[in-house]
Amino acid sequence: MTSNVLETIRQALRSGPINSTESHPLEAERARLFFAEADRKKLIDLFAQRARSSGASVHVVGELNKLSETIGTIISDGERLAVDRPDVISERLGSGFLNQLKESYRTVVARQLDREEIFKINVAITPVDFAIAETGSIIISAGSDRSRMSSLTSDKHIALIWADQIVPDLMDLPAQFKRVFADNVPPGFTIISGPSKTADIEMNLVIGVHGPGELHLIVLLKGIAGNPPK
Amino acid sequence: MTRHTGFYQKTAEASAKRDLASKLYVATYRQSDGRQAICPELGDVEHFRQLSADLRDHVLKNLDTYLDRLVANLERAGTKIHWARTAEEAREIVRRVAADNAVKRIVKSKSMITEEIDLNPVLEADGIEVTETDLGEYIVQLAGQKPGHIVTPAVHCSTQDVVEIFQKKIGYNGPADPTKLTKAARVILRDKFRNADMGISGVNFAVADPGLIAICTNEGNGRYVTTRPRIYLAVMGIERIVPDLEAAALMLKMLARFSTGQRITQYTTFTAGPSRDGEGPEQVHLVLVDNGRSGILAGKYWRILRCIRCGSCLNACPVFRHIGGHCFPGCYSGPIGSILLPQLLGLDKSFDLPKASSLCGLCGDVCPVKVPIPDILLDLRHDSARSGYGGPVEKIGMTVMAKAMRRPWMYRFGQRAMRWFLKPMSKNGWIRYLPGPPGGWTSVKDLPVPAPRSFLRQWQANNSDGQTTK
Amino acid sequence: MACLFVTCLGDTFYPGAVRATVNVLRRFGVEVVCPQDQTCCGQPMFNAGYFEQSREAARYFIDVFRRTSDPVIAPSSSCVSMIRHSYSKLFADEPDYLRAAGELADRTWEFSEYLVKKLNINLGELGARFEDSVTYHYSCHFRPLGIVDEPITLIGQIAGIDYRPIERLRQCCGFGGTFSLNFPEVSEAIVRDKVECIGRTGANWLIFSDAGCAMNITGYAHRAGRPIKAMHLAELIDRSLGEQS
Repeated sequence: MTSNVLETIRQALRSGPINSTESHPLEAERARLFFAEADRKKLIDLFAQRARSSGASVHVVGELNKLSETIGTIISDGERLAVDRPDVISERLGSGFLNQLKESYRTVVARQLDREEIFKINVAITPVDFAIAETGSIIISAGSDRSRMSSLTSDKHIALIWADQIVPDLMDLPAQFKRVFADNVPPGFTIISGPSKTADIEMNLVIGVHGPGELHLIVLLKGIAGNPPK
Repeated sequence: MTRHTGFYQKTAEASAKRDLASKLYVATYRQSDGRQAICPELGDVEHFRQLSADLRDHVLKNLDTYLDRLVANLERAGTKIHWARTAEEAREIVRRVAADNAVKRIVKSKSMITEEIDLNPVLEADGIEVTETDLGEYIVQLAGQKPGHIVTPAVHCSTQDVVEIFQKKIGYNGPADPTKLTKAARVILRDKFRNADMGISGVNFAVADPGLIAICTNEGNGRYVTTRPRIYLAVMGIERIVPDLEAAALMLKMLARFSTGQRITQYTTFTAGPSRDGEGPEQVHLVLVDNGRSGILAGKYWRILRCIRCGSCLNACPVFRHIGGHCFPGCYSGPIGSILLPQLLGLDKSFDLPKASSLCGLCGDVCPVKVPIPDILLDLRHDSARSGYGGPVEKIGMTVMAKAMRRPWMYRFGQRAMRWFLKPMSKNGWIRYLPGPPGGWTSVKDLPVPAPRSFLRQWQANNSDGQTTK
Repeated sequence: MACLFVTCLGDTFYPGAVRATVNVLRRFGVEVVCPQDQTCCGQPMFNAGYFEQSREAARYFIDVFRRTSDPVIAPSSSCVSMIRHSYSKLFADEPDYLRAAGELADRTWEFSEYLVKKLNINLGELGARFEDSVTYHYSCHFRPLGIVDEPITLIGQIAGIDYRPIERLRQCCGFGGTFSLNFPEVSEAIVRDKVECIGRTGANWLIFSDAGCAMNITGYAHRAGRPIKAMHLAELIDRSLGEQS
């Protein structure tokens, strides 16, 4: 079967009007809109503006207690909070922050939930692999130490982004992919660029369809970061 | 005049439906206005279109190489690859995977290629419950209809239509409020995601290196379909591939901006292979479908395969705006449908499609990958004329016209004869009725009468030596 | 010196518009010659897919207009587009005619672009005046010719004119040549939109640049009981410049 279709394609290319070329024409930099920015504030502002225009909420936070305060405005009484990659979070923010979460909210570790329990969480709090300013996006990947589902089944997704994780342009995707994953391609990853939405009913915008209706992007400024991201 | 294939009749009926037009206006204007608003932020839009066209051409010219690479990388990640020459082979592959794994419930993310191969009916005939999870597709599925647009499938449904469908099919008794309707669908579909055995999606593009398949969605159903069920199966047209993540990034810059006027869809989900860690699919399958594409690749219309199914041409087209997608004899509609369906179905069965265009050229102007749609429409008309699909009368008429245009005396005589012939049918400077083939015009419009003396006759009379001075 | 390309629709249905084109060019010092034996550029057959028949007409057209090397001017963008864009496709396999077509394309102009780009006309400086409300229909063929807003520029230079822009300026009127015969109902639906947009401007006059569009729009409007007064851009300019001095 393989050889049939591939062979048919090869035949088509040999016999048809196309002339084959080898060299890849795309010089990636010619598709770049945003360049590396010495002024980190400008980059964060671009990220925030782009993310907000697609419906996300963006909070730029410089102090640890402000972070807890911000989270407090997002999570409502009684909501179940699933924390993803607590190791990464506590490595950067300290175990005190995690403990505080556990004390303030009904907290579970996302990856420890089974296939039914994962549907019962209300809020997910996750770090990200990196973020892209051009589109206000965050990238989250699959792995045995992290949960893909928690940021999908929850009503609210809180993403913790270290300012250093934000790159300017979609054309930075390949380099970031390499930096974060090297040769270990994850089984999957998602670029999240806003809350779940649809306009399928007569072009009326409805937020919150199957994924979280609220996406909170918390950008943590340098001063708050512990160790720099891997 | 021309021998119509049945398509003509449907367009005549559709264009008479004013309520259909108003629904199509809302969707097509919203999306094309969105595209026009956001594309300028690319700066030199023409530059980006050319980059994208060149990239797609490069891929098509090296399609075998990139498919080879994709397959090798995906297999290394544990994905099972299947090749399907035809729609039937593709259906059988999916049926077999489902049967081998005792699949009883399938959730689907929106996929035009699964419409193209007509997948759902064979799975349902096997006793499998198949639920479309894209809200527009879900609505259309409940209504027992086909999608009406390649990006926004429920484009032909008003909010009230959705209420009636939901009342009838899911016992909805809420108001005509899109948010409430969406929430009602969410509750049901959330359950479907939870309990599905298999998720099926299309592929917006595959990335040969490092070996990924990507889908672009807004609702979150794409993430569920690729993550929750223990089996994920993707169906892909063989041309929907890019070499690497650089190319993928360019495509991501273009797709949503041209499609709906968003910068990027809310979710872009990439899959390499199964997860062996308790979350995510245990099996991942990719079905590579030819179904006529290699034939297109071998022919003069190979540039059709540049298409990334953004729907931009549909949203720009004045004809589509009035007829919608259901007139077309296949799941692809609008300008791209008019050139792609003849390749898939045969021109002899679809020669009317390329004629349903005023050649305004907007489709070619808005395509992010510069598919030369107006040019191909003309070439298909030529193919049709050469095969005689227009019928003998049309051919004779065109041939006589050509002869007249080479012979001024014949041309003038024709003008005079026409004027003389039309006189009894005209009133107050307007013709209300024309017999025969031109009668199409007067069935809906008046025609101004030809002037009593043509310009050239006046010129000749004023300049009797046939040349101009002051 | 310029060579007039009358166009078959102009010749047959709108000789007044062609007359006005000559008048306007003459006012700007352009001597106009008009080959008496010209007929049609072959576009109707081309658009219908009858390329061989179109080529017959096109070869004759090229033979007529290659007799001079003067600029060729037409009061029609679709005909000019045929010469500038489609002739190269028609004659791709005929090197002689391809060359001749290319040479001809380099000197073939649509009326309004010739006035603005070549003659650098400013109607205001010439005392042009027209006191009435007008709206303008933009032909689809302007886009491939690179004509952006030349007609509107010219209209704007006329004193006393009340120019009312139409909504969705660049939307097709639904003529499309044989399309209007093959798919009359769809064509009607499209032109109905156009006529409603024109109506909403409240303008007394529709100004047009292409005969096909004008026949389509005014023909539908008349049938619908809402007749539209229309004139070609050349007629508007001719009128606005008043009696010839």
